[in-house]
Amino acid sequence: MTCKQFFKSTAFKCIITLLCVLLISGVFLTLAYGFLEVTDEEKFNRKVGNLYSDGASVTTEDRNIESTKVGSSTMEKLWFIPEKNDYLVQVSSKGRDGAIVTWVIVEMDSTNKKVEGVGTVLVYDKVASEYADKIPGWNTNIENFSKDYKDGIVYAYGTKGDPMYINTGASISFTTISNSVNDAITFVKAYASGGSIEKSPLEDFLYTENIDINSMEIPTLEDGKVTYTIKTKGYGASDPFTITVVVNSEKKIESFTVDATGANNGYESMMPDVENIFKGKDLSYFTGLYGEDMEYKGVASFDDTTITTGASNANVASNSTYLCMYAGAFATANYENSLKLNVKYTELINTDATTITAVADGKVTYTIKTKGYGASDPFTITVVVNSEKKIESFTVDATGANNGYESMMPDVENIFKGKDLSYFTGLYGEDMEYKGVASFDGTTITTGASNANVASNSTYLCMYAGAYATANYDVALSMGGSANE
Amino acid sequence: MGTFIAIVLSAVLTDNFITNKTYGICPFLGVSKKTSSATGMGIAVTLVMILATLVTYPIYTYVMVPLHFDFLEIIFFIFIIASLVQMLEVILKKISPTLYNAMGVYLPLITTNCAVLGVTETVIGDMSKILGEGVAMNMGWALLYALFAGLGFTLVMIIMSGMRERLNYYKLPKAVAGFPIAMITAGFICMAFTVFTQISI
Amino acid sequence: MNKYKNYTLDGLIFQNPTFILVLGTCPTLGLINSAFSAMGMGLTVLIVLTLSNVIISSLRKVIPNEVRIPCYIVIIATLVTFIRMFLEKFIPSLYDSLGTFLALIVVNCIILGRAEAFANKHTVLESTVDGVANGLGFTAALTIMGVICEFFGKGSLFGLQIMNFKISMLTSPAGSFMIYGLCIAVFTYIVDGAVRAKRVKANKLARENMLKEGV
Repeated sequence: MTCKQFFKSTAFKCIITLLCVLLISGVFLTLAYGFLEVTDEEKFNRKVGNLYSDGASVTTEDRNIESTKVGSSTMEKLWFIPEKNDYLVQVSSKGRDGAIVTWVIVEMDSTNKKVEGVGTVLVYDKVASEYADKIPGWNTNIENFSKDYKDGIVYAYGTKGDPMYINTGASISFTTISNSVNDAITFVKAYASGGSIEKSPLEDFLYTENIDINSMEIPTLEDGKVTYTIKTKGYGASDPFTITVVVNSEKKIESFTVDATGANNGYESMMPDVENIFKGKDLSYFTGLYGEDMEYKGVASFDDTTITTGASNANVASNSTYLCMYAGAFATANYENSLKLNVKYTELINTDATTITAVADGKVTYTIKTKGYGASDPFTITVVVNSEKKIESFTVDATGANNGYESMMPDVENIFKGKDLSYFTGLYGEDMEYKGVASFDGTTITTGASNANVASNSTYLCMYAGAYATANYDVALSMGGSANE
Repeated sequence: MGTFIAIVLSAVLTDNFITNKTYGICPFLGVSKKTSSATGMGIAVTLVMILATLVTYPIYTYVMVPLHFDFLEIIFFIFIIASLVQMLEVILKKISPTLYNAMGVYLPLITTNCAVLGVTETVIGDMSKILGEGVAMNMGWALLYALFAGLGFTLVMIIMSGMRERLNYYKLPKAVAGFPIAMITAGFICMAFTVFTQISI
Repeated sequence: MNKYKNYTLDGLIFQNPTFILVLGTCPTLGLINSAFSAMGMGLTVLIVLTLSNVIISSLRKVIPNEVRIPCYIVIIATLVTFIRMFLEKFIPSLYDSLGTFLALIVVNCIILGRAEAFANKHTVLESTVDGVANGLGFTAALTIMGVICEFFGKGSLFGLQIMNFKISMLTSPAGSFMIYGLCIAVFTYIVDGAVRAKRVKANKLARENMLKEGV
């Protein structure tokens, strides 16, 4: 057919009509989409709104935080919900069989600086690319955490039948969930007040999962014995314990005293006599019963001297015994770590290069490398401290570029002989703060002026090294051998 | 392997298109009077489901979503399905006129079958409940799902037709005969299938 | 005026798309476990049906006969897509409860059936009336069944918990099928009875007229 005929035929009319309909529809829908599009952000906000029971619509502000490690968890994401004055934290923790991701709603007060409570907590035990899509249908929805918020920490536990009980599968540990929630609270506290996370000095210690290291002080050291005041977390049905443990230089328990047991009234009759049984035990005793990782086991039986684990009991007695055992393992395993925390006067000492070169007959020999101070280069000094914690010999080996210092400085090699820590702190104060040398002679040095010349700087460094050597005698003796401090 | 079994079991037994998701009811009620036509319809629907998924899934995933016009999916999908059915009709007429005559008017009706559009819509949505966790959706699983969904559909059609053929021997009150008794029968089939939802792997 | 009355009564009762014609069964069976989603689906279909009837009726002289089905499908698909976007933005709860059935409205036999059987042969006003009537018939049928299933199946009504007695089978597809079947039976019985009564009355009137005229 001819061109003209084609344009008049029904086939052409059909095609044109169909194309027109399609075109108009497409244009109409594209315009409509411009108005009616639900952005990904809005979808996310709706899903977060489902976390609240009142069905209010919320907006979220992504605070774009970097992955931050707090406690035993990693903070992955943080959103602020202005309508509710809450923070939503996405926390990842390592459970027994893989990562557990928890979403925690941390409620703030009206000033937005103080944490008021904890809202809905959701847990998902498998890594997903979009956690928001999992609401509802998250593995567990824990709403009762808010009931257990006490003074900034959440102790979550429960037994079957009570409202706090959560039926966790093999891959979710309830301790991990409460750790995640507590770490989230710590993080939000620091974030909201603009501060940085205060790391506990006990962070690198072993066996910290059931220990509340954030509220503990540094263990003290005296005569080679380390004293801990341990605050455990709760476990299962057991409230937290406060225990004072003394560990001697053989890393064995000298004394184990339970100071407080929370609400576990009358536990003594149900529990083994840990205060006596643990005396003289070292780490191998605890790991022998609970394994290298100190994993929970129930108490099968006990008498005055032995405890047998085995069954999977989850009663208060087994839980409490576990906490005490865990505290014992913590104390014995971290003896050396505690020693390290007790090293004093390290500010001007190059601790990586300083070694204890000999320990014999109660005498400790240090090879101390100081840092520089002011106009003075670093010193290398060999110091021998005897069992009275007095300096037996003080030999300056190297002085860097401080040529001809001898004439300008006091004769520290002779003056320091026989001196103990009180000599140094008497001249420079408890904190060994810098003072210039006012005058000196063959036996005495007087500080006072705020001189800043090489002689004063160098004298200060030697004094600092002396203080360092005498103050850390206990630690050095316990560390023994040629250990780095 | 686990995903394979999960898809097969959910498509045929626990998430069956007729008994659990109530798609494809129109042919289910209309064609299930005789077993032969029920089987034929079921196979035809399965074939169209596979072809439809084969065409729509890649177009949606690789063309429409990256170019942000996924809101036009309904128009595109129904157009593709209608064209596929039309092509199938023409091919069937050429290859096997007897089958074409046996299918009769039911072949074009596959276009308006909820099951076909239903399966294309399902595979582009959230399949994590069916696939299990951590398994990514891809073309292979989509086709597998379409195949077994169709087979599950056919299975229930055949069961239903068997029961309806038996019902023909009974004289029922006028109000109950026809659709009502068919619905009630279907209800019993659904109840029977809920047994399978108790299986967990 | 009489024909509008006929169209309305046909759409609502005598040719009710759910109970008499048994069309559009997929969303019916899928959504009557909750009264909210049942009514929501009914109203959505009402809107789509009416709009589609209006548009197709106004274009009935323009669209050639050969491509009418594809054109109708495109028009209906456009309307469904638009409604879907609208619901997702403004009524997300309804959007979530309808799920995939929202997209399946495009293959709902009622809409295509009315377009093919009525809208392309009647004026816009008549098509509007027919669309509204059928839509209301569909909505009423779905709402009644939704209320029954939800009330006896969950003890609640539109989400409000009313009683604790539950026959939970009614919330499953099996229950939906059974309730649907029973409702069809009851409805056809009543309607047939009414139709027969009307016919008997008409026959009686006709006979009386014949007798009068014959005499």
